[in-house]
Amino acid sequence: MTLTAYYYDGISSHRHDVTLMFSDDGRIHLRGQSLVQDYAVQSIVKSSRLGKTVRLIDFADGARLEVPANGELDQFMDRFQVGKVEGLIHRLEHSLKYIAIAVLVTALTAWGFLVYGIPAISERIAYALPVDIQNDLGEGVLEALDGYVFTESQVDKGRQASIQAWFDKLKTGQPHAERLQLQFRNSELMGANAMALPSGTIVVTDGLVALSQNDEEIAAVLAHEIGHVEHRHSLRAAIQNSGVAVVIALMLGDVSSISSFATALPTLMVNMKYSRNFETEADNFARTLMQEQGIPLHYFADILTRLGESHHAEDAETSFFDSHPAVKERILQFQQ
Amino acid sequence: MDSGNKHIPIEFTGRGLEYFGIWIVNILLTIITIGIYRPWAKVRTRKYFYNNTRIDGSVFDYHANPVAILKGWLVVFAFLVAYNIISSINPGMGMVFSAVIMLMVPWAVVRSRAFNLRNTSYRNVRFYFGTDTMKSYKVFAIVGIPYVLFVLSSAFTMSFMPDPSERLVAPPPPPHALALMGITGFTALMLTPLFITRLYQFLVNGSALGRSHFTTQLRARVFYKVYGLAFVIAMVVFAVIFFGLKAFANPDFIRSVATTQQEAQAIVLLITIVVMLLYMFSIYLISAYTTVATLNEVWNKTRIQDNHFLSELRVLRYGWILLSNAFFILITLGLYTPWAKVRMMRYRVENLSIQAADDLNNFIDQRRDEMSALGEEMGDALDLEFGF
Repeated sequence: MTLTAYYYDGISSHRHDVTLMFSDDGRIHLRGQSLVQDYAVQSIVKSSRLGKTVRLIDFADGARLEVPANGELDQFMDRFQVGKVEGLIHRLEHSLKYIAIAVLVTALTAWGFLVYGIPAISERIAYALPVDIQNDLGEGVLEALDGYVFTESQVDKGRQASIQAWFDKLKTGQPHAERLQLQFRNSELMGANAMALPSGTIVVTDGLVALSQNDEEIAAVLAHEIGHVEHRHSLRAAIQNSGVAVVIALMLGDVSSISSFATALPTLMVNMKYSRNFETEADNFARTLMQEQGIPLHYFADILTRLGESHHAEDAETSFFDSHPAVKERILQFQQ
Repeated sequence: MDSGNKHIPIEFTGRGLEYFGIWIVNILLTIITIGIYRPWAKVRTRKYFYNNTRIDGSVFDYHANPVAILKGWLVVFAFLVAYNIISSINPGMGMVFSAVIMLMVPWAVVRSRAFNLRNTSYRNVRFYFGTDTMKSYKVFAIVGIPYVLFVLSSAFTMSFMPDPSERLVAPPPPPHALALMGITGFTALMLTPLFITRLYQFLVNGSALGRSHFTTQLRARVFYKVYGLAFVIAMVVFAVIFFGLKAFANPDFIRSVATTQQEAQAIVLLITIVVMLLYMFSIYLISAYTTVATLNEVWNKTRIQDNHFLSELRVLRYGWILLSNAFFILITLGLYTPWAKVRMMRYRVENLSIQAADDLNNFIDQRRDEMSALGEEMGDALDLEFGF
């Protein structure tokens, strides 16, 4: 069993061409032009088995062998128990079967963590934090919107008052009810809409009021928005989004800034999924609140249907990029 | 030209599929061990790339002890936790803390490079980096001092600014404060290419293979040209984006073009995508330009013993590799990453070669003590790799 290799004594970079011979008593014999050396396998302090190109063997006296990768060499090493752990990892890295398993396990773990782990952890954190921390999140949002998108509401004061009355009714009994405030705004750009700010302020547009046929429908929408506030969705979204970014960065590990753009698409998809979960949670909250207040559930279904028509929501199925579940699915929960 | 000059190309024998196995198992083991395996993964990755880099038939190697790296990471982690706690209790103290961390950067750069080089070998002779920390501080001071002055003058200017809620109605800060900010900021900017020149010179001249030092003579003029041009291009791109956004991303324009809310949302989405793409392209191309120009310049002026280097990287090719790598990583949800790394490494290595004056057999090792990995991981955590 002979091989050729390079030998370096560790004192200078002088390269010796040597032939190797292995004997059954566990000794390695080197023969070079001006070199005759003998090593017991016990004097190997380190050997690396990485990839298909080269094997590096370090001896106790500081010398090193550079050997083109070779099956017989590997067999010799295995026989004399050299570098067992590394050999095991190396086998993992080069066996297609184990690689496939690794890909599968990694993908499953990542998926599981992203879909269940992060939301669960974020929820814990969000409820553990003081409720006023959310005020910072939305600070200035309403002011900014007032500058760009909102104008003063044109809804008649009487109508505003009756809707406010419904709001106050829905508010009673909610934890931190004093944070919940109702605001009316007009917005051509946003059309018929309602939004909940993390500070507890809920905005209703004139378009939504116009679209509704009675106050109960608005109350249903308000119940949904209150659900967003009570469930601390903005805070949880903020925590979840940073969690996702960190997980994906960790997985792709030590790559350059390439990965920051490459993670954008999967991050977006994951965030949209989280958003659909929040909408469902808010829907469930609304259903419970409406039942408690004795508001027939079909009012929510009615306004949702009309909203869907006004926003030309032709897609019947929810896609990966929808921030809301499909209207059809949501209405099903509110038939009564 | 000396006689007996041999042109030695540098080869890279790594393969994407082969590295993929190593990469995915690294991730798997890191997940299973909740991150503890990371230093081992890092060492294994480095070893793979070094072992596949071949000059004149001999390969490089990396010898770092993962345990030492792990200890270094734990120290940095502790620092980060302390910083977070301190700054949430007392923001003032937090700022002091981060200032202290910034002051440690020149030290960390030296220690990090020393650790990496001393754990790298060629033909069983180790590389070295002289730990001249004073010199490092002098180099960083070139841009550090103006930068510190800029930060101080910004804080001074901010002290004139009222609460955010009153910002719209309050008068602007006094002109002398703004002028101070402007002058210090401008100085810091203008000195940056000089700093970069001196930094690379410091990094190269302090490095050695065995007892033989690398030497380089860099001229600031070259770096001013390169970074000046990059800066101008960046400003042009930002101006285009800024004015483009002003023209197209305002409610009046959108209202005049869109008829339904669907259309309005579609237009906003389109604008966002265009801006993102423009930004991404520019960043990649500008950084390709500065990276290629810098690496070429530094390598081409570097010698060791009587050997020279020749670096022939091309901006467009390099930029193309960056962009296409990003694209493929994106559409494969990250799985393309190992191929991307191998591809970039191959390009960089195979466009570097040596004009050797002899057979490279005359490097003598210096024996020094092992060193701790503390600096290495500070450098890692603060992202101080220079890729050189």
